[in-house]
Amino acid sequence: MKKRISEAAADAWGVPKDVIMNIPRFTISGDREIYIENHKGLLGYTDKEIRVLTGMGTVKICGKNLSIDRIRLEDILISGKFDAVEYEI
Amino acid sequence: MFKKFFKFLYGYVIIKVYGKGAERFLNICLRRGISVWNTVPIENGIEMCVAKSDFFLLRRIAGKCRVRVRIAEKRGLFHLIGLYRHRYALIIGAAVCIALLAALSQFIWVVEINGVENSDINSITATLDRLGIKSGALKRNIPEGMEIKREILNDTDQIAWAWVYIEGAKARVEIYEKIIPPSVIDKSTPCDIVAACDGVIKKMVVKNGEEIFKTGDAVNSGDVIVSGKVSAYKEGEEEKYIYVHSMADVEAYTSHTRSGDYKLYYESRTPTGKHRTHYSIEILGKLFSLPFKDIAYEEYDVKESRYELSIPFFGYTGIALGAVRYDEVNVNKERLSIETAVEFAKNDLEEKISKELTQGSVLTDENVEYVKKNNETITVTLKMDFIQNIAVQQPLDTEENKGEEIFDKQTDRGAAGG
Repeated sequence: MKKRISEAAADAWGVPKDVIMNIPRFTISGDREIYIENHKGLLGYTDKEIRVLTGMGTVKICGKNLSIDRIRLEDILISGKFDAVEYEI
Repeated sequence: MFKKFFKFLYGYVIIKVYGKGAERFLNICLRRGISVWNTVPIENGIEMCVAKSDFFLLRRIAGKCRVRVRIAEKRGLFHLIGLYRHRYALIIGAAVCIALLAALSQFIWVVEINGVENSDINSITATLDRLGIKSGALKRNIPEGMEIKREILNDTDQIAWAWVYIEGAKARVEIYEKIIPPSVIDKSTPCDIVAACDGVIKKMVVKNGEEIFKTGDAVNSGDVIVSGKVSAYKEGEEEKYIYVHSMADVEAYTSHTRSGDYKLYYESRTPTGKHRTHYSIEILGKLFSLPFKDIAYEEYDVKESRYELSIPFFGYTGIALGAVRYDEVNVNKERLSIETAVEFAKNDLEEKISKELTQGSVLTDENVEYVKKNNETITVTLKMDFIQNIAVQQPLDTEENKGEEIFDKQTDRGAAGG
């Protein structure tokens, strides 16, 4: 119910949903770089798979030579060669 | 760059976190404001960097997450100092080295002069020596820029502007030369008109002077065509001459022949990838060659480079590394057809003949002949006929005048128009 209200409010006011609904924002540059804002923490980290907890569930990034270039409380910058980005909701 | 510098300045540790809770450990670190960077996954854990000051906060987090934390490496300025604090010889050596560099950079070791093409470089060097701008001179004794400029301009006429830039241990002298305007023909100077090359006179317009040859006459190079010595007496009177500045347009049929030997193949050079480099060290202007064995390559290309050692705040230290690189090459001979070789030879010979011509020459005929010398060489002869202006002014040797040869540009233009 809460989500619905916040989503409706975001739609009505034209505010970005990630601001109101506490959902992550992904910026993907080709298959080489992913920038995730508003994450909740790291769940798994190997060079083939990185799992990130977000407000809408877990996001799994699969690929080769994956590495975290930068990690802060609010954002993560991941680079490598991506094969898939999966949502585990 | 600056972040890296400050991280190094404050010091940091590279740690390895082992255990199933390594990711949790990382999350808690972030939540507690501990900055983490360079995270790399390792077997059964994560490797990461944390600031030295934050390291002692990790103990409780490690206990909470049930992970083992091991220090892989310590880095930072103070760590380095601590590491080398008992190596007195190294510290003294480094201090002496810095002191030496600082002291040596107070002197000029190399003087580089740029922009000199027509001026006398020895005169400029002498002026710079007199002003104290030479190898081994103390920088603070060098006079002000305006004074140096004034002295150089006074000593050398052809220089329009000069300035000395001090770059570490190097004094770079930039010279801008004057662009000399074309000399004005002095019409008061008596002169003859002589033939620039052999030819047969086609047309002649004499504006001043006495004709020696006429239209249709053959002349050799250097023959006086119009004399500046004009007779001014009647028959039976005493011989008197006046000297005038001869002016004439003389168009003549001329023929120019050139020949040369040319190869019947084209050489292409392909690097094999093998190379050797001969290094030499230049210290305070003196070159010290490092040991180098003879090159065993049959064919090679040579490339010279020079690298100057400059230090921030000091500039050029007076130390440079010279490198002469020898790249082995395979020389491939590609056979050329006779037509192609003759065409190439013709272009080359045309270029050589064009250097002998005066402005405005008109080509009337050309003929190329070749003789095969052997399987690899041909001798090509190019004959080109022109109508060209052959008039060249030559100062007349009178008692009053002994000048230099003057080229009359007016006559050149006249021939071009014809």
